[in-house]
This record gives sequence, C-alpha cells and structure tokens, in this order.
Amino acid sequence: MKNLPKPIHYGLLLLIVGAILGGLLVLVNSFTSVIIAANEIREVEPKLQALAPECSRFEVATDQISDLPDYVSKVFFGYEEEAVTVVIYWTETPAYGNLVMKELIAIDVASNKILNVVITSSILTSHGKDADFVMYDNFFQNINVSTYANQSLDDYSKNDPEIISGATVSSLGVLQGVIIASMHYQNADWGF
Amino acid sequence: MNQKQNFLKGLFKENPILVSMLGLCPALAITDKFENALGMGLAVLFVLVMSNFLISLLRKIIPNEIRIPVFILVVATFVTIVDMVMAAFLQELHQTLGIFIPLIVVNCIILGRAEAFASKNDVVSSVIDGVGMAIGYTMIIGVIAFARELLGTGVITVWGDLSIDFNKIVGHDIPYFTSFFTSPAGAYIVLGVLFGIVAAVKSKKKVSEAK
Repeated sequence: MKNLPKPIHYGLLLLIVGAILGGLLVLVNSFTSVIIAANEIREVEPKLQALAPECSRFEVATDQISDLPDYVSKVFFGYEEEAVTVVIYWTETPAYGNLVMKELIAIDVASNKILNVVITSSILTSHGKDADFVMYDNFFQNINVSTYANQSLDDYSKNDPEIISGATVSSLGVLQGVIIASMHYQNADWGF
Repeated sequence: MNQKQNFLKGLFKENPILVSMLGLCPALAITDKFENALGMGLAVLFVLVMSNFLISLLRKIIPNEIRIPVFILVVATFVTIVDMVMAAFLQELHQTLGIFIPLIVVNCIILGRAEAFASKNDVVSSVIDGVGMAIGYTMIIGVIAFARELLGTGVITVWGDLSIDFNKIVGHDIPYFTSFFTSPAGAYIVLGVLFGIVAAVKSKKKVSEAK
C-alpha cells in the first residue's frame, strides 16, 4: 500500500480506520438501541396507555416511517393482539417563550379519528402552570383527521384559538402538531 | 519515568484541570451535583483510556500527516459509545449531562493526551497515562461538585439512593447553605479557590526549595 500515491494511501488508511470504528459502533448500537427504545416507551407508557387503553402493547415505529415530517420526533404503534389499532405521533412544536410543546396525538386506525391529544411537557404557559392542567379536555376527541389534514396553521392564527386556557401561542403549537400528524397520517401508506 | 510516576503525574504534577487548565467547561457546568461529576469522570475515564490504547496501538501505521483526523475518528467513536451506553443504562444521568457527553469529543484533555503521549509511547504506558489523567480530572471535578452541592444544598447525592443530608444530621436547616454555590458563579468561586490553593502550595514549595 505504501507504493500508492500519498493521497490515495492516506485516503485508504482513513477509510479502513473509519470502517473498523464504524463496525464497532454498529455492534454497540445493536444492543443499546433495543434498550433505548424500551426506555423511550417506558417514559411515556402511562400516557400512551391512557390515550389507547384497549392496546395491550406499544412499539416505537419511527424507523418504519421513511418520510417522517419535521416536528415529529417519534411515532408509536399501539397493538391489540397482533394488529396495529392506534398510531400515536409524538410532536415537538414551537410554543410560548421559545419553549417546545411536546404532545402525543393518538389516531384510531379503524375510524381515522383522533382518539385524543395529550401534552407531555410541562411549564409551557405564560402563567408558568403545567399545561396538562389547563388544556381543555377532549378538545380534539373523535374529530376525523381529514378535518386537520387539509388545514394550515394560518387558518387558525387569526382566530386566537384557546386550546390551552390563556395561552394563544402554545395553543397554536398544539394545533401545529395536530395538523402535521393528521396530514402525515392521511397521506402515508400504512399497509395495515 | 517509571509507571508509578506516569500514573501519579495525572493526579498532581500534570493534573489536567489544576495545572494544564484543560476541560474547564464541563468542570464548571456539570459540577452542581456530586453524582454528575462522578458520571462525567467515568465517561472521560472510558474515552481517555480507550482512545489512548487504540492510538498507541495504531501509532506506527498512521502517517503523521493524517494523525489528527484519525485521533478525532477514534475519540468520536468512543464518545458515541459512551453516549449510547449511558442513554441505555443511565438514562437520568444521560439527560442531566446532556450536551456535555458529545462534547467530550472536543475536550482538550483527550486530544491533548493522544497527541502528546499516546502517539509517542507504548500501549501500557499510554493506558496508565489515561487512567492517571482521568482519575486526576475526576478527583478535581468531584471536589468542586462536593463543595458546590454541600454549600449550595446541604445534601450530597450519589445517584439518588445514596445521599447524605447534612441538614438532617444537624436536625434543622442550616442557614448558611445557599443556592449561590449551585449557580455558575458559585462554580467559578470554588474553582478559583482551588487554583488559589494550588498557587499557594507551589509558591511555598518554591520558597522552601530556594532556602
């Protein structure tokens, strides 16, 4: 290899070192990724269970989605026996005061309706209260995804939406998450 | 230099924080809790020892011209491994340390030891150097964190379960425990005091040597 021109020799060496180290990373990732995914589920499992009580188990399905939209951090599948019955989006959208609004949006596969929306991050409103306590209950419940999939955030921003009491900007953050999730759900080819 | 001196130099004579003044950002940022300092110390220990080991092993086949990209590849790999393992097994600590785990890649102690020692010495010496430097680093951030947490809250916590509450030992809230020490300004004060102590010891040593 030393007879090769220097740039090629160096390039090959870097490539070999990179491939060996990459292999090491793949090896470690192969066992840690399973545990990390389980940790992620455990973190939100009580809220996933509350959103879809009929489901016996949940799985992180983010890797199975090729066209994950911006602001969607994860997608979960809820299973009844072995069939996917609920798709749950975890979105992170801009909220009041440069904070991030994290919310879970559960969509029923059979009816294409939103089961419910739950905010998973706290201290989002201008009052410094936990948004869970001030978001109007069941605001989105049983609304067909097509209602939001064909909307844009501009349609709502003029009307001062009050999804969270007294927090217009954070309310728009919630709406943005619901619109993105609805749009993706409606257009995706799920195969179930 | 024998292996004992090689190990001990990282603890005192060439301590990365107090003497070389390297790796100061995490030393100031994550030392508001003793357990964070221990976690960071363990992460640095793993990365430093493993990168010193591999760089020393590869030193004869890596040309001088591409040594820095290779060092960065090696260090970045071990930092990513630490990041993944922590995310899997020490989730809470991983969230607390946050960005400071990936930032170990650019920690000058790691690249500094790779360039100054591991690329010029045998594997055993490089590993011992890494262990000594990492323990020296952990020791100092541990002292800073211990002082800050104790003065700031009156409680020393080690991963939640094991904690020493000095307020409980005394039987009432000790009034001089102030959250100032857990703030960034408190970190500067504690580090400044440590630098002051080192300077005083050095100056005393110089005077006694002159006599």
